[in-house]
Amino acid sequence: MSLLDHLPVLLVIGPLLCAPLLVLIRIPSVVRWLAQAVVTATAAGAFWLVQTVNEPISYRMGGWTPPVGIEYRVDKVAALVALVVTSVAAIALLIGHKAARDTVIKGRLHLFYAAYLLCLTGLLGMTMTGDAFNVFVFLEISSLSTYALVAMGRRRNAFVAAFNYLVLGTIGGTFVLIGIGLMFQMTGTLNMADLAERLVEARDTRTIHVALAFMLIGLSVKLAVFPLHQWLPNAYAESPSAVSTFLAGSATKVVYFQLMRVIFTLFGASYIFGEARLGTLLVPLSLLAMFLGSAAAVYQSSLKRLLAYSSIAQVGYLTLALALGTEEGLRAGLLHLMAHAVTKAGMFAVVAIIVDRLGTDHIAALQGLSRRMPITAGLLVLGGIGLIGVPGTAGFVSKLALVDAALGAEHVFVAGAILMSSLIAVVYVWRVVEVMYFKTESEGPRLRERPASFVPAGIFLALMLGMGLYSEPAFELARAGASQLFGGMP
Amino acid sequence: MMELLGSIFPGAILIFGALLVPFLKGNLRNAYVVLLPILSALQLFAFELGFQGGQSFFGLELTIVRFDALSRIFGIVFHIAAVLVCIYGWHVKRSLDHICTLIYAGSAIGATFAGDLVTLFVFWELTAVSSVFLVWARGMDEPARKERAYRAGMRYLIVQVGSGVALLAGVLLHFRDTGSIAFENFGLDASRGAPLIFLAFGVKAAFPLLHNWVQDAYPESTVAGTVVLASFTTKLAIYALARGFAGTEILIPIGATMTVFPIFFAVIENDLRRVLAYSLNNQLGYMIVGIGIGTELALNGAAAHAFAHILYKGLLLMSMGAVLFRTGTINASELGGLHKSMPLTTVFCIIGAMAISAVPGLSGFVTKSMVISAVGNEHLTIIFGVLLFASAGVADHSGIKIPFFTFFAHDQGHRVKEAPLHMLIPMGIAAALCIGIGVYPDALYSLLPFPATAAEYHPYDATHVLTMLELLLFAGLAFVVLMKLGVYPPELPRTNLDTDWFYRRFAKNVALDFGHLAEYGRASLWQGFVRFRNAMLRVIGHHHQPPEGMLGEPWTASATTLWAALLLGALLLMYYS
Amino acid sequence: MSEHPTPHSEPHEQSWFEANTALIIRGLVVFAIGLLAWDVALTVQGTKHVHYDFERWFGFYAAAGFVSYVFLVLTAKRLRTLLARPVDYYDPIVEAEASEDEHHGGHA
Repeated sequence: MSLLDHLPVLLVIGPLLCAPLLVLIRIPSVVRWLAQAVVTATAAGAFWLVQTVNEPISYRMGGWTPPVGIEYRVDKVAALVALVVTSVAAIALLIGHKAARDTVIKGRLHLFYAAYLLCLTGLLGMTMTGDAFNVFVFLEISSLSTYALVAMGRRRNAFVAAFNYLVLGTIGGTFVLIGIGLMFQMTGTLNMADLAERLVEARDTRTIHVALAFMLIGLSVKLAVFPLHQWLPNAYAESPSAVSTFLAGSATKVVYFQLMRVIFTLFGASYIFGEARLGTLLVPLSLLAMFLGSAAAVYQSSLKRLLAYSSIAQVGYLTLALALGTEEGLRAGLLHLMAHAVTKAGMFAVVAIIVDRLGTDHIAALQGLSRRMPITAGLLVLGGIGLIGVPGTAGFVSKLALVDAALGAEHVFVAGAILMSSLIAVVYVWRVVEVMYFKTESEGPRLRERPASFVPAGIFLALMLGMGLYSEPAFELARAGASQLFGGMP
Repeated sequence: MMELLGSIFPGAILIFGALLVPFLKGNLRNAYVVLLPILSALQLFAFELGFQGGQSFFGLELTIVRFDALSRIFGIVFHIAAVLVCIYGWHVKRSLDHICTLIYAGSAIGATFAGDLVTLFVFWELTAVSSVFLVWARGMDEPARKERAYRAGMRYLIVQVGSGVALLAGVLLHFRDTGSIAFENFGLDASRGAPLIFLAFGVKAAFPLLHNWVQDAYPESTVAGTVVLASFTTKLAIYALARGFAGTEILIPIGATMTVFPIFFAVIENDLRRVLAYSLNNQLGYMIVGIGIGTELALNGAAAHAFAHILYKGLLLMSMGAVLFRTGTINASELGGLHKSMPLTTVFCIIGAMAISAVPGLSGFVTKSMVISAVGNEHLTIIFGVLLFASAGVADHSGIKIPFFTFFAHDQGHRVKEAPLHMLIPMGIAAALCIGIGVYPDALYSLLPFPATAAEYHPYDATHVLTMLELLLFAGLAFVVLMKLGVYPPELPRTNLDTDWFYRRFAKNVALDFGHLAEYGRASLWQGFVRFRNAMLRVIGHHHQPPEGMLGEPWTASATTLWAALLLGALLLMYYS
Repeated sequence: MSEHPTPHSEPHEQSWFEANTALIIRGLVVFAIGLLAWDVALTVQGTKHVHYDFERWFGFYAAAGFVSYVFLVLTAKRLRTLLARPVDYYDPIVEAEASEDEHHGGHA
């Protein structure tokens, strides 16, 4: 077996084994670079994986043949999600050190990095595994470490945010577990490919209906689908900057992928949107999320919360793409997943610079930032432009694909709603621009901007522009992934 | 060299060249911003008529460059305008203004040569985004106007982006229905998308009731910014209409309406640059009538009138800008007698005023008459009458009011210097072109979309010269009579209501009322929800009242749980049935 | 503000245009009469190239210009009572201060 064959499991095991090692080493500088090295290596591995994977790669744990043994199964979409997650993790960790040193209780920096790596492990594991129960296990690993990471925020409110997230995350996780349990009861298998085959016969039973409902709602809580979103703003706003950057670009994306697998792999789109009529629930909820999330973002006084509410609206776009129930919709969803990951992570990375220099993320404190920190302000505007979806940015490509998919599904009204809601994004991005560029009443002195601090945000936003200007690779990836996933697991 | 120039799209030199402006200063920067449009204009020689250049994108074949007679004439005049406004803006120190001017001009030129709807859309949006900074620029110069400039810019941006969104939606629908993204004359019935595209063009062309952004935003810009803004956006829309909707009959009444109603506003408006903005709409009306008729003569007339219009409207706005620059005001009620201190500006302004009034011998005469002749050829009597009335109106607000109340009338005692040289130069060039086109129209006619038809058209016919002079001179005598009788409305500092009232006052109030209503509804719902939640909590034996106020959202956990339960119930019910 | 003293602060010297208003108006009238004479000639000869018959009438365009103009201006004057609002109707602005800044900006 070549290294490539082991790659799926290596990606998960790398950070998993490294995490306890960090706890043992404890020397801040070593811990930092080791963590960075491991995460970067993971990202490189994921990049390699995306390049090479065509047919789904099946990896048998301990040599046991599925469905008896646990199987890791990496198809195009899984590789793509893994690439997004690991890249975001690697770049966001660049912010980590400085931000973490300020916020985490002194002397426990190693715990931050360990939790970070464990969270990555969980997210990657969820993405790679082909075993339903394994999904739950990794979901819990990522969730538990996320609670810890959120609680490391600099304000005491972080504890409340983490606790709320813990309660709701646990509810979501439990729902998922109930769903898996019921399916196991009916089919006797946990391997997803196997489940998919056996569900064809069993899916018209009441038990499976209940299982499906529990799975969908459980994942919706973790995905922050409106109106189950209320954990998200506080969790994003209170956690340390590196963590909000990481979470914004990865956590919901992985859960989104799980939702895709439930819909397209386990049950098949024709069943979910035909007999199970998920569209009737998901389309209105997505539209509500798009409008109310954006509207709520307009009224936020803190930059992180504004971005968090914007994320809720973006989740609306993502679920809407799924709810169309077409391959085009799925492709648009994957594109938007990538586009939003780099855009939102880039914006949180800029906020990290602002929080670092100003000590707050209150929008009112940004007065005159265009003169105090011109490059930072410029980057924030650039991110905002991407969030609106101006041509030339990744957001434009993905929203265009989404509108096109909606038109293709003959949902002209939905297409109009997508365009309308983008205009609300103009308003909340504008509020920030207004304060930075047009309000100068209480302007502070000019602050020195460290070139090094721009690196993470710069990479994200460059990726965002790259995807917008030269979108062929991303588009190709999404197209291939969508056709593979839509075709169902062979 | 020519091969290299032919391999990039027109406008690219301006758009990408603009990015170097921040690194240059002083005279070097001034030379650079003028050389760029000149170089870009030279690039046009690299293309031959009928040239099409493209690239594939997402499997779509884009035609990024289409060089034909219609795009050429707009491309040429946009380049002339770009050179003039760049010289005119030499006094501006801030790089941002120059960058935006160049990108804005470059994207308008790029849009003109776009052969497909996707490329058109990209440049369409770029013109909107790059030009809005010119509206805001004045707020950066004058702290007292900051809020005002910012709001005007915001309204401008929303309208422009709205037009872009309509265009995008239209293009997508059009592609769905026809499978083509070619930007050709498709008319309103081509697809479900065509009316949306029409609407997008209409917003930028300032159709009646969609027009107000012009009067709202343009006069709020800086001395140089207003000239820049007035040169490109609306004329780009005229080009787009001529390309996509030539011969669409609904355009005839739309255009005729546009020629008439702005002139009433122009008579009573006090801000002279706003008067010119109203006059802009009136002039666009002639072009739109021509496009609506759609005959070769009419389309020639629309294109020629757009060409001449950019020059004389630019000239008038430049002269008013110079007045604002020197005296610090542009309100007719505060101006007068400036011919003593700004004689050259006065002469240039009068040439512009005569050109826009279509005095024989100047550019407006040889272009507007084509449109009117085309109307006559089609025997559209009512439209003919309307355009005649509007011509008398132009004679008032642009021909008489602008020069008379600024440079003559009652001397308000402004003793200022003549306009600076860098303003006189572009004004002089524009004035020379106004005269040149009027004296030797064949040069312009040979560039028109249908040169053969144009060559047969002779504006200097005795009847035509006589009737036009009669119309204008007797309108002028009417002005004299009204002044002598003291019934000519005095210039007053006033804000005149226009359609912007609907969104600046009416919609705002409605939104506020709606907000109160929503707040009331939210509060009631919230109380109901709290009661319901407490009842639910009691049911499950949980008597503790969760604390309110902490974090603002202390109820997240319980509320979300409840929602999760409700949604689960909904799904189960759905599957149960 | 040295460049433009407050209005009416000094007696103005009259320029040629201000001194000879009557002459200019007389010139305009003479020009108008000349045009009408030309019109008579063309009408009598019957060599007008026009689209509509009414264009052939003597003085049609002169009348149209005069009547249109008077109608337009008087209507607009009436409209003002309906449309005019104080300058600060939408945005409160300090106009004097604003103009001053523009002026200084212009000379900077």
